[in-house]
Amino acid sequence: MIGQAIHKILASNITDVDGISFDRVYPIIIPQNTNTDAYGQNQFGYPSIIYQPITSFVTSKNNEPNSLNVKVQITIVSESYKTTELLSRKVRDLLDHYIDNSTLGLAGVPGYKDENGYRHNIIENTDINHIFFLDEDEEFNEDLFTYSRYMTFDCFCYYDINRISYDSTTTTPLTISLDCSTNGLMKYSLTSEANTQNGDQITYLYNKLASSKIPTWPSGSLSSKPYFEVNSIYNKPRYYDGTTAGTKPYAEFKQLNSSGAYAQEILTYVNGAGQGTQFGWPWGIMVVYVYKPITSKAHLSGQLTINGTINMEITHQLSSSDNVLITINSSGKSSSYPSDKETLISKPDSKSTYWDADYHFLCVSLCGGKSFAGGDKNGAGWFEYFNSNLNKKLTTGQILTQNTISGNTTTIAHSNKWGTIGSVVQEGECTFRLYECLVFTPSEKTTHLNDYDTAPFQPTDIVYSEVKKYIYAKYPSLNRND
Amino acid sequence: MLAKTIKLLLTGYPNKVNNPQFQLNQYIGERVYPDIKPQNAEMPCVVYTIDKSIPKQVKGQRGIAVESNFTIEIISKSYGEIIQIATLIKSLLHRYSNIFNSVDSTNFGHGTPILSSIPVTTEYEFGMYSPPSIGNLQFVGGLQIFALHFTNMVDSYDTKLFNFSSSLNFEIQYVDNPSTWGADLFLDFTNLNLMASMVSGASPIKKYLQGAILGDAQRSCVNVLYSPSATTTDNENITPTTLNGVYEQYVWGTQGPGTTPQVTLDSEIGFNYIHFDEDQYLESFLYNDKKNRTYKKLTFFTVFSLPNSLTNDTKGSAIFYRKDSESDASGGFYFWVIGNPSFDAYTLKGGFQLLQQDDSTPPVESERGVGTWVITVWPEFGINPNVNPEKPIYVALSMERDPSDSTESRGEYEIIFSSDLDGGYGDKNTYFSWNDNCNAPNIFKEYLFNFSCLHSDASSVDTNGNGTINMNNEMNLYSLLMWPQKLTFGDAKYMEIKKYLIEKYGYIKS
Repeated sequence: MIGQAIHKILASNITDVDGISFDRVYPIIIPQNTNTDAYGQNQFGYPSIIYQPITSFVTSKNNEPNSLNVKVQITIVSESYKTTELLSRKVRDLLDHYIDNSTLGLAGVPGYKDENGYRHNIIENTDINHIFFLDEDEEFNEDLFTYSRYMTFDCFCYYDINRISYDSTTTTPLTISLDCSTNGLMKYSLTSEANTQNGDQITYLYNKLASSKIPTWPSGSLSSKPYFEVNSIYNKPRYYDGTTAGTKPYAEFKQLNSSGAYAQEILTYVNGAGQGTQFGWPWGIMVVYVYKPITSKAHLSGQLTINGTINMEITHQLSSSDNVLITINSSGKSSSYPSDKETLISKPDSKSTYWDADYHFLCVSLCGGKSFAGGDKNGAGWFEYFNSNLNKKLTTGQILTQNTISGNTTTIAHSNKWGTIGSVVQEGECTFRLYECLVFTPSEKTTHLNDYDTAPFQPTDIVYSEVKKYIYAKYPSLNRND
Repeated sequence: MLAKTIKLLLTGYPNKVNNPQFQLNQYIGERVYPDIKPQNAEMPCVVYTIDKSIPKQVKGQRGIAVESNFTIEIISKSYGEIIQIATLIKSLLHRYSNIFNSVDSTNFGHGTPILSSIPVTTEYEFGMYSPPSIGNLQFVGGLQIFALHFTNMVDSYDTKLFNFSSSLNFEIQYVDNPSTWGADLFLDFTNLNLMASMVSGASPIKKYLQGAILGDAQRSCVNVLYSPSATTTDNENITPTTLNGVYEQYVWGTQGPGTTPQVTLDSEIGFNYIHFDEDQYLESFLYNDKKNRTYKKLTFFTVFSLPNSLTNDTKGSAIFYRKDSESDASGGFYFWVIGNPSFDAYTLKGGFQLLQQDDSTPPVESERGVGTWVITVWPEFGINPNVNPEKPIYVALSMERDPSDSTESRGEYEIIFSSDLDGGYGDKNTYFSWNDNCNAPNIFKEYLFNFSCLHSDASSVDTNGNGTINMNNEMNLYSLLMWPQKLTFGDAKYMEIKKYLIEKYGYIKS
């Protein structure tokens, strides 16, 4: 985590020393026989920067700690004192009171200050608050004839759910982390430095993990831009500060019943080529939403284009008689795959308990497509739903037996897709607020010790346990017991 | 015990679909080793070391908890892999909370994954069937953990072995009581989260509601009683080993759900007990394997009372035994009160059943009743006027078959009546020996004791040695402990257990 972030900072910014190119930043130890072509003369890995983190939690009375304190020892080794001195100054300049104010961010996500005044400097799955230089000393190694300088830095990082993106080769299992509860991650223009203000349109919503690398079938991975964006022909959702003191900011998606015109507000995944698109989840997916439905129907996941049919559909709707329905169609648009639509929640006359709440939590975890992962089904799995007016605190056993998603056996030509928040499908007034969206994908197909019709993420897993802890800590009103 | 628990926390149940440690398993499998990595062990792997254990001292007795520091070292050729594994281990263990609870609308819960709701012997693994951890205590691997947190992590490189490693330091605090000292079973009723009641109702209301509530008509019914720790392992005094390391529970399942209080939690002067109405019992959830679990040497400790037993009739109650419908021979312990209306006097007797077998091929098992004390209570003449079986009674009893004579069994016992603490049956540290001979051609079985139920519904039981006795009259159970050794009464271990059980009631001589 912090080690990778430190590596990124140093390797990206220190590319030459005294006119000679430099690319040797290593964790813990210098590897044997590193490339020294740029230097030509010596056969050893000098100069090199080695970093070693020592991690502890910042003491917290909360169940879930939210800060890590990492002491990082950085060792600079060189055969020349001058080079050691030069490098150490560069390292100090870079790291001490580190701030990333660049427009595009060091790793694709620009740094920002949140509404409470805390700095966030995001490097992949690490969100750095502060780095302070503590001390340094130096010595000469008589056996190796090298000069070493030891620098100690005190790093404070946010300990949040993004650490669950721990497989750096494919940015799994957590692959997309959209946080609408802070305006620092939303932009109207990519080159704008200013944070989005209350009521402003959102063109870009950054994935806190920056670019995702989602595994594809049968092999390889799909890279993306570090943000979701709005296709120019559609309207943009808007950012709003919290409605009252203590409520969180959000992105609001509206779809007005304006006949003859597209008035949909959506945000969509953007591939590496810059095209709004959706990505396939051939081996399964787990999607978590924290949201609030406002009018009629929330299209948490919908279609990207007016004729689009292949994106997974997840909706939360309220009928005129106060009946609440939460449905899913993992195959795509329900009118195209009508028999694959499943009802997760159906509650008559339940507006107060299943609609009015300030915060709603929905997690859907599905197995992949039978043509890709294997097995007999597409999209079978489980779900969990609760809100700030009603939380039965189901046990894992209850989730597994009562909240099953049957899936389907449809033979579909495409891999199951996800990638659009909101939907271009016009269905009258549809408005919802989004606070958070997390997407998890497995790095490879898995039976989870059962079969390929088993969702790769189970409610008993460490991953889901951490999701629940994170959500309850961030949205305390969801953590009720009914 | 801590070592086994650490291993279990890291590996979970690798063959179970809902293994909570699944993601960790993907990396390290079962490659979790104590203190040192075996030579040529596949990597990545984990080595754990218990650095220090310090008892939480209290005045006058053994510490009630232990605080330990342990280190988990992740070893791999790849630094990136170490960070991934460390992320998972930190997430799992810091302020550990066992979210697994298999209760659904039809079954009561466990804190460990099971493949099906019906236990089968092939499913038993260490730590299986732990109680769901709904309170502050986390029941895992035999321990009752009330605090587990991450301290720090240091990454390093071994220049000799060319491995990266990351050392994660943790601090753990867990309860230290007879369940961790070595008891094979320890039940006391202080922790209400170890009881569940059964409620009729439609899904998604839990059929079993865990966490008893004193005084609540519904929630004081005890339909499930969990043991806070697992049975002992590696003990030659127990056979077979099927249930070794597994948590026990006692359930009212076979008698069907109901709302009439039958086995209930109650309390007197702040001390909780389970009340068994006449004919009501709790049987082992793992019934067949439990009744086959036999002891070669045993000392049991119990505190109980027989409510409404001072009558003109004979009232008998098994503290633990078998159910009436069980035809196989069973061990058990019982107490009965014989009322003598003519003299306004009572005779109090205690006895227990052992397992014997005849000389046929194969041998046929039967029960052998052994009597212990006979106490006359005749208040009119000042004979034990304060001895009252309706008030709590402490009994400890040890047993074994004589190694040199299989027709003889022997042991010791102690009995204290809480109603007579200042009299002859207070805590005098007076121990009595007992022995018994089988009638030829019978011999005592080498593993001569077992049981499967708490209380019993059996009446008119021919004990084959103590006459015919009812086992089914009312009984209050305050605590029960099975120690799988024949302790020497009065020695350090015996006194430690006795003190733990009854000092809180004030029954012990200071």
